[in-house]
Amino acid sequence: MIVLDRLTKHFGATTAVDQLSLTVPTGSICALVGPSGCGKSTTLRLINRLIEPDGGRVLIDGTDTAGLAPVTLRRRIGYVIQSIGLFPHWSIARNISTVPELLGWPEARIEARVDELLDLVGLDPAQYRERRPHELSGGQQQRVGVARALAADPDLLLMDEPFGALDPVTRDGLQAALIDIQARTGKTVVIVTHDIDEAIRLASLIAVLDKGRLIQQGAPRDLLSRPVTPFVEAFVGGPHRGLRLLQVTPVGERTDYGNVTSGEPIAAEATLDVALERMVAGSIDRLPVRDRAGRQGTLSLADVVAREVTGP
Amino acid sequence: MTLASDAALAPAVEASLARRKDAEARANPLLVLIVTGMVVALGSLGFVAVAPNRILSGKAVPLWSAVEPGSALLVGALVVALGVAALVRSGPWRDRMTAIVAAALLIACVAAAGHAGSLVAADSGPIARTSLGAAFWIVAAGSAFALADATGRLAPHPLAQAAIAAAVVSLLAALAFSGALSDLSLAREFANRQSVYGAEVVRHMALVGGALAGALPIGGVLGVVALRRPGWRKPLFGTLNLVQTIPSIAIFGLLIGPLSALAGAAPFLRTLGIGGIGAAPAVIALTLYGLLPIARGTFTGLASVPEPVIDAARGMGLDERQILWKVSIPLALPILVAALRVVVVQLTGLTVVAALIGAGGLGSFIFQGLGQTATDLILLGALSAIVLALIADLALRSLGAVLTSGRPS
Repeated sequence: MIVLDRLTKHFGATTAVDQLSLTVPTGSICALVGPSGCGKSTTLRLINRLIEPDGGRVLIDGTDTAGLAPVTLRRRIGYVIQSIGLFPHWSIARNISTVPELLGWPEARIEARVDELLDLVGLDPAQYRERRPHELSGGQQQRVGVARALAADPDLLLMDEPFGALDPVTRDGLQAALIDIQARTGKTVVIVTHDIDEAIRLASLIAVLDKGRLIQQGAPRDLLSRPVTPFVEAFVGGPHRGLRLLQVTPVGERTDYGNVTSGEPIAAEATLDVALERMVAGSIDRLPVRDRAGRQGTLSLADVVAREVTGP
Repeated sequence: MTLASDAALAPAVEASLARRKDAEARANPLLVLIVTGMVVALGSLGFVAVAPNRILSGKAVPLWSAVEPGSALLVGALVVALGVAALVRSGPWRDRMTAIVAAALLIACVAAAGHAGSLVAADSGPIARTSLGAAFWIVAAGSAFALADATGRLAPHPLAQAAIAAAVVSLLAALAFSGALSDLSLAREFANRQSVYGAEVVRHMALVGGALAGALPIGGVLGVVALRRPGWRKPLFGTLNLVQTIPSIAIFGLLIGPLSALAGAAPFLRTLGIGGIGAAPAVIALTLYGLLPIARGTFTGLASVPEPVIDAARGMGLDERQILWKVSIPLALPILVAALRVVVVQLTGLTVVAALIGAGGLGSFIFQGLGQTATDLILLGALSAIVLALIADLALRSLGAVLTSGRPS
């Protein structure tokens, strides 16, 4: 669990981060979002102490990071940046083994780990191990960047706009890879992004920052359905808020289980945007639904557009 | 401008581009200039200068009367062949032809000069001197330049160029060892000083090495300081620039006073060879001259390392020393080696002046030659220093190429 406790950082006269408190549960993906200059990158760099705070604390699993040597702290935290920053003079394998080598792992263990990680990020070890970074595409380089960050098996991964410089198709692939890797490894991830769609897709917790302050935090759905200020409403929703709500609402919630329709069923865990896409593509207004337990039901177009059932 | 007039203009532009392309394909203007210069020089200037003895200045003798017709014809034919190479279509074929003809011309030109010396010695006795004339230098330098230009395009890799240079130099050395050049005045001066020549070369290199031993760590640290403290950059490089502008003779002279005072105050320093004259002031002055290029090169090299790479390294938990040695220095290596090349070549030249304050080295031949008005002794010192600098340059370029092999260019 990462606890940011009243973190504050000034750069000259400007306050980059202002009394920011945030708790990131272990095993979750937290996205720090906001317009440029809102302090999200600074906040990330305060966590691994690339920047020292002027006030407040960072607790990782209850330990105040101020009490640790910065170098020791950073070796326990994975770090991925937008410009990737692979070492151009080293092979892919050596890049990935940077931190394990710093930690003095035995060679055989490092080699096995490199192959394991290349597999994990979807690059064939035999093909890529000995290549140089400049021989890889941008997307492949960022896959290596992620592998390098995960090398020493850190519990926490910090990512600063990791997919911002990639084309949309490559970005999609890497986002899917990250979701998959996180599900398999259970890492806690803090990701900085200015792309709200990326945050909605990846994160279970979104923190909206503006001018160094935390404006609102919560699950993507909470932010979309109950923005606390017009700023949050404009930032997370804007003209696409309704469509984005579809992306975060499961089909099962709107399904009428008393009513069975024939045809190829959609999973109850799928989101409403997928269901709507199938309705439009098939020119139909009813879809059969089946949940994990095998229960069958029907989703109708009227239910898709029905008013959000607000919780307690 | 309207589209219609654009369209009307297009054929004219195309034609002019085609003409230019054609001209590029046809002639190598640089090579044409070189060959023209050679022809003019061989026709109007002395190939060698023949003097009755070592001190008197010689009389210029053109190529055709200096050597037997066969030798003169060979040199002439090679110049013509180089001219042909300058005019054929560009491409690897022309470069190959240029390289081979230029190498042959260089060697033939040196051999012809040696031949001329032997003829003079046989004719006028052992006291008569044969010096190299203006036409010789123009043909030799021109063919060396043509060779370097062609090989630069044929084999851009520094190791390949070093190999070609080594091959040509060993052919010239074989020529010298065969005795074919021994009657040239330059060779006579060398023969007279053979006993001390090797020692002076070693001393020259030791002075350069001593200066490097001081300038590399100090200049390197200053470069790192300039990188980490932007506020210090201006005064630091300003001071080093100022040092660079002081004439070398002045620095050598200025150091005599303080150092002899120092040696007088602490006599044990004298036993270490430190005094107002000799190696100590020379090494100190040369170290000062080496500081600017090394500090500047270190700063530029380290500053060229991409910021994200440093950020990633720091974020992963490399400490500042590890970042410097594992990331920054390896990535800055091409620029660092280039700076080292500049310094070594510059110091090899400057060390010549150090002979003036009794530090020895190849400069001692030059100053002796100046004292005796013996031009060829001056030439012996100067040529040796130039060759030394060129060898160091080529060696460091090869080293740089080996160290950075497999990098993106």
